[in-house]
Amino acid sequence: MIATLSLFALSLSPVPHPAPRADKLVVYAERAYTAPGVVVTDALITIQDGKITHVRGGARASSADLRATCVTAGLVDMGFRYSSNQNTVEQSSEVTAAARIAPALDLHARGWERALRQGITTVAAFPVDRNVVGGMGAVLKTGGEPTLEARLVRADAFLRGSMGSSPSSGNRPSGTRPTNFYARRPTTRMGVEWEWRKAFYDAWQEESRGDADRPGRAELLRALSGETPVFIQAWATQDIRTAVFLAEEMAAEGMGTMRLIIGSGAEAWREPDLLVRSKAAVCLPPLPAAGRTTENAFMSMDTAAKLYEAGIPVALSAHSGYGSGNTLAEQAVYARRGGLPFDAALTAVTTMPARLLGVSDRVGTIDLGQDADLVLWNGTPFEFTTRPVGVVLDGTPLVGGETDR
Amino acid sequence: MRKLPIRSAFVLSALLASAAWSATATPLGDTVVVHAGEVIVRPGEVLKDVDILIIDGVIRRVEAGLEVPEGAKEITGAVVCAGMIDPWSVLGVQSVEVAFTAASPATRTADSLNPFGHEFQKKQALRSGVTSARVQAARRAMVSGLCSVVSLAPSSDEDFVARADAALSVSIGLTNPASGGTTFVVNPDGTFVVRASGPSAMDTFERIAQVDKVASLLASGRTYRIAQNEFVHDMAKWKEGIEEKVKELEKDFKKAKKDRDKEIEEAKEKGKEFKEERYKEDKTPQAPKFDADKEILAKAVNGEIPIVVEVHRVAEIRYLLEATAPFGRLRMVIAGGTEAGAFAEQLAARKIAVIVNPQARGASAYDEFDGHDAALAGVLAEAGVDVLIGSGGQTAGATRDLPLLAAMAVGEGMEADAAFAAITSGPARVFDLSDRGAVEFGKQADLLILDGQPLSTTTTVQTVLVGGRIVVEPKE
Amino acid sequence: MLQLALLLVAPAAASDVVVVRADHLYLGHGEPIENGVLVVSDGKVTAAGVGVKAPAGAVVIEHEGWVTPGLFGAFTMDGIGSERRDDTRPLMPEARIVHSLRPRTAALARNLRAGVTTITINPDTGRPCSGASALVKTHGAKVVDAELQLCLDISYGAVKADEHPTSLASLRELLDDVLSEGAGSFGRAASGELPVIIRARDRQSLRAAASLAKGHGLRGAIFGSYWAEELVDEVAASGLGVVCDPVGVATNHRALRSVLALAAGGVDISFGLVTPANPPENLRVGAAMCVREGLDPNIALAAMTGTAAKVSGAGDQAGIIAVGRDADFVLWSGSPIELSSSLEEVWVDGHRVHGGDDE
Repeated sequence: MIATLSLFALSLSPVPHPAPRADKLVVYAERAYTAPGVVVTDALITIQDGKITHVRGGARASSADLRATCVTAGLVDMGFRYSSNQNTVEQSSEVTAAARIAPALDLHARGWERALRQGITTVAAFPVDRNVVGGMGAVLKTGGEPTLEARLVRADAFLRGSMGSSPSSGNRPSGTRPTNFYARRPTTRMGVEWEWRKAFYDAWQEESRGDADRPGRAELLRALSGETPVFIQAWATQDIRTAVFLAEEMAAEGMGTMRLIIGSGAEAWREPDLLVRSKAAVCLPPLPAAGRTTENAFMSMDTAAKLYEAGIPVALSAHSGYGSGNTLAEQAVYARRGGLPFDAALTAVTTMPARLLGVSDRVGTIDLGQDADLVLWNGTPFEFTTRPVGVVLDGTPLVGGETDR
Repeated sequence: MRKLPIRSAFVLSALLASAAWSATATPLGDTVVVHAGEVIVRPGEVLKDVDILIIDGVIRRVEAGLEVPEGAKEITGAVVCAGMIDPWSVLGVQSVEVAFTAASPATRTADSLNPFGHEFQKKQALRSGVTSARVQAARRAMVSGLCSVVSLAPSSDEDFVARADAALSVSIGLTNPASGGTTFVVNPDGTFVVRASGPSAMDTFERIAQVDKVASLLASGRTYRIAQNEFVHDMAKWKEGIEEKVKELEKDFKKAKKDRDKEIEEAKEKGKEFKEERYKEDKTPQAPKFDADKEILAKAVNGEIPIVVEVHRVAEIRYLLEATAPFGRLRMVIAGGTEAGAFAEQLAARKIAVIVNPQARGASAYDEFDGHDAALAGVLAEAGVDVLIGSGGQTAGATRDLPLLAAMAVGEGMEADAAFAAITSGPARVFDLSDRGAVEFGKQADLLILDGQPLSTTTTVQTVLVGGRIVVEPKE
Repeated sequence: MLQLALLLVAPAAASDVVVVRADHLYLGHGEPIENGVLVVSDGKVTAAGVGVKAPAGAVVIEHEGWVTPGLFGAFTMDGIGSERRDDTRPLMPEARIVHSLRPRTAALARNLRAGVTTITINPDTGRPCSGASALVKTHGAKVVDAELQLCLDISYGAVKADEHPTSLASLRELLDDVLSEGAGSFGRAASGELPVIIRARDRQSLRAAASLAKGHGLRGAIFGSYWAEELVDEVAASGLGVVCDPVGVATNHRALRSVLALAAGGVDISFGLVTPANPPENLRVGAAMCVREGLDPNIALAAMTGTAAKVSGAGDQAGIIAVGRDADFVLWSGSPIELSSSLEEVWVDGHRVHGGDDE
C-alpha cells in the first residue's frame, strides 16, 4: 500500500543544492510523530515556501508527493562535529570568547551530507574543544545551498568551552626556552578551571570599572548573565562538578546566573542531585563501543534514562556520526533500550536540543509555521530495524528526492 | 565529475554491469565501413578518399570505392589512423603495485591487473586516441618482472590482456623514495634540485653494480637454457645408448642370464651380497631443476621476449651496452634513456629501441632526470634508433596525454612521421603486436576517426573503434 | 622558417630598425593577424599590424611562422633558493622578494629558452601576508617592478598550529582587520593602487578570497583554480582574475574543467608557471591541454601573454606587443599552442637573445 522510496536511491543519489521551492509539497505518513506525545495517524503534511502550513490526520495517501510509514521532525544534533581539524580553533590564546566559527565553516565538507542522510537537519557548530573557551557557536542546517546565508539558523547561539584535559593536552612547560605559546597554556585541569574563572572575573571587573572594551568581554558577560547559554564540554564526573561549581560560584558572587549546558556529559548520571540543583541541561555523547568514552568516562545505555528520571533535561548527540551504529537515531535506539521512554527519546533528539539552542521557534516539531524539516522513516523511528528513507529540508526533498508522482 | 541521478536499482545494476565496457559498443560480428577523407595507413603512407571494411573486428579491405555490404554500419571521417599504443603506462595497475619492490623475473604484472581499475583514466585515454598500452608494475624494483599489453576497451574479460608476458622489465639506478627520502639541494645560484637521500641514495658504483646484477641474471638464464638444451641432447643420446645396449645384450641374452644366475648362487654360497652390475646407461640424465625466474630470463636471453631496461645516466648506459653485448640474441629496449643521446649510433647499430618520455622536468624531479634533453627523441631518431614515445610508467592519467607528448617531441626536432610511428607502429613492432599499429588488411580494427592530423592540439578525436566496436562516440 | 636577414652575421644594433613579417602576428590579445608586420626600433615597438610599411634601411626578417609577445610567467619562485618566505611574523607586507633574488640564477635562462621573457617572482604562500612580488625580465634579470603584488594567503596553508592565527576564522578576521585599518601596503591594496594575489586551495578559501576582495574593493588575482569549477560566479563577481594552478601531463581532469569553467564565466585567466619546481615548458603544455579540452585557442594564447600580465597587475608593463612597449617577442615555427611548433628565436628589448643562426 505504501510505496516507500527506494533504498538504492537513498544511498546513491547525490544531494543536490537546489533553490528552496516555492511551490507546494505534500507528505503523507501512516504515523506522524509531530511532537513528543503527539501522534497523527494517516497524516497529510502540507508544505509551502519551506514552511509547514497544514497538518491533518485521517487523510488519504493519494494526493501526496512523498509517502512514508512514519515521519518525524528533522533531528537536531547539538553535539555535532563536522570537523576534527584544529584549524577551527584559535589556540594562540586560551580564552577566545569572541571567536566566531560561522564565517570559516567549510560547508563543502562531507560531514554535513553525512548528517543529512542520517536525518539530522539542524546542528550546532563550534570550534574543536582544544581551547578553554573556544568561542561563539552557531546553529545551521545541514543541507541546501552551501552558503552561510542559506544555512545559518542562529548565530551566536551559545558560548562554547571545555573543562577537563582536552584544552590542556598538548601543552607542556618547555623548560629553558619556550618556543611557542603552548608553553604558556594550562597544563592541568586546575589551570583550565583557573582560566575560566579568570576570564569571567576579568570581564566582570573591567565592566564594573568601566574599562575600555576589548574583544570577548561582551560575550563573556552575556554568558555570565544567562543571556547566552554556556555549553561546556565535561565528560567525567570531576569535570561536570567543576563546571557546576564554577556556575555556582559566579552566582554566589553576584556576577550572574549562567544557563549551563553540559556537553558530552557521559558521567552526569553520577551527580544527579548536583545537576538538578544547578538546573543544568546535559547533552550526552554517543554511546561508547567499549563502555568508556574520552576521559575514561563511564556511560551505558541506561544513562539517558537515569538522567530523564532524575528530571534533568537531556539531549542526545552523535558527534560526527561516522560509521554505522553511531548515527543520532541509533543513539536514541540505545537510550530506549536502556529504558528511556519513546517520547523522551524523541524529545532528546528534537525539541530538547532545539530549545537549548534557542531555535524552537523554527525547528523541532511538525507544526504550523515551523521550518519544513522532516525525516521519513521506513518504520517506527528509533528502532534498530528502522532507517531514514527520505529527508526534507526547508521544504525541499534533499534525500530520496524522487517523488511518487 | 557529477554523477547522473539514478532512477532505480535495476538501471543501476545494468549500468554497473556494463560500466567497464562501453554501453554503446557495436557487438562483434557486425560489419563496419569507414569512409575516410584521408587514411594514415602508417606514418608516411597516406591514402586519400578510401573506405575501410571491417568484419568481425578485423580490417578486411582498405580501398577506394568499396561496395558497402547490406546491414553495415557506416561512419564518415576526415582523417582515420591507427589507435595509439602507449608503450610505457600503468593503467590498471594500482599504485601499491607500482611501488612494489619485492618482484622477481617471474612476477607478472598481468596477475595484479584490475580490469575495472582506472576506469576514468582509461576513458580519458581512449578519448585521446590511445587504444592499447604496455603496463608494468613494480617499476622501482630492480627487476620488475613481466609486463603486459592491455586493451583499453576490451569486449570482455578475456580480451582485456592482449599479451600477458609482453616483455621482461628491469630498471637501473632509479631513486626509490619509499626506502629513503629526498632532499632539496639549493644551488648557489638559487635553483634547487631534488636528490635522493638515505638508503635509497646510490652512487655511481652502486648503480653500475645493478647493471652487473642484471647481466649476471641474464647469464644465469642463458646457463639454464643451455643446461636445458644439453639435457634434451643427453636424454636423446641416453635413449639411443639404451637401445644399442639392449640390442647388444639381446644377442647374448641367454649367456648373460646364465652368468648372472651363476653369480647370484655364488654370492649366496659365499654369503656375500650380490651386486647388480651397473651399466652406465642406468643413470638417467637429470633435468635441470625448474626455476620460474630462470625460465623468463632464458626467454629474454634467447630473444623470445624483449627486455625493457629503464636506465637514465651515461655511466650506467655505457656499462649496460658493454655488459649485454655478449648476449647476441637479446632484444633490448631502453626506457627513459635520459642521457642516451650520447650513444645514439651504438643503439642504432645494435637495434636497441628507446622509449622516450619527452616531458620536461622541473627542479623537483629526481636526479636521474637531471640530464634531460628535450631534443632526445629527435636526436635518436635521426641517428636511426627505433624511438618509441611513452608516458613514463608512473601515473595512470598520463596515458591520456600521449599524443601531446609526441607533439612535444616534434616541437623539439623529431620528424612528425617518426613521432607518430613512435606511438603506433613502433610499439607494435617492438612488442610483437602484429595485429595492431597500422590500418591495413588483417590488423585488428583499432581506429581513430579525427577531424584533423592526429598530433595537432586542435584536432578532436571524434570516434574510436577498438576491435571494430565503437567505444567513443562523437561529443554532441 | 626562412630568414632573409639583410645582415647575416652581426646582430641588429640598437639603433637599427628591425622589421619582422610573419605569417601570423599575435599581439597578446584578440585574434592573430595574418601577414602581420612588426617594426622595432631602439628596443621598442614602433608599429605592429597589417600593411605597415618597412622604413628604408631596415633589417627585414621574413618569418614563415608565428610571432607572439614574449610569454608571461605568473607566480614563479625562481632564483630565490630557500629564502622563499620569512617566517618570523604572519604579516610581512613590506617584505620584498626582490631582495632574495640572485640575478645570475640559471633558472631565468631556462625560462627564456622556453619563450618566457617576463616573470613575476613571488614569495612563497603559507603566511597570511608573505610580502610583495617582483616583476622581472628573464633576460639579464632586470627588475621592472620591485613591488608588483601584495601576496596574501587565505587558505588552510596559512594556518599554523603554533602561532596566531591557528584557525581559519581568525585568519580571515586578521586579513579583514588589516585591510580595514589600511596601514601601509594594506592601505594601498585596499585603495586598489597595489594589486593583490591571494592563494586559495579549496572551495572554502576560494569563496573567502572572492569575498575578501569584494568586501575591500581589492583588485588583482586569486592563485588556485583547482576547485573553481563550482564557484565561477562568485569569482567573477569579485572582479579578480585567476592564476590557474599549473597544468601538465597527467594533470587531473577537474583542474582542466575548472580552467574552462572560469574562461567560460568571463574570468580573466592566466597559467601559473611555478618554476623552478614546475618546468617552464609546461606553460605551453598546459595551454595545449586546455585547448584540446575545449578552451578557445585565442583565450589560451592570451592566458600566456596579455591577459597573464593583466591578471598579475603588470598589464601596463609586459605581455603585449604594442606601440611604445618593450620589443620582447618570440618567433615560433607555428602556433605556440601546437606543441609540434618549435621556438626559433627570442628577442628582448629589440635584440635577438636566443635562437637563430648565430647560436
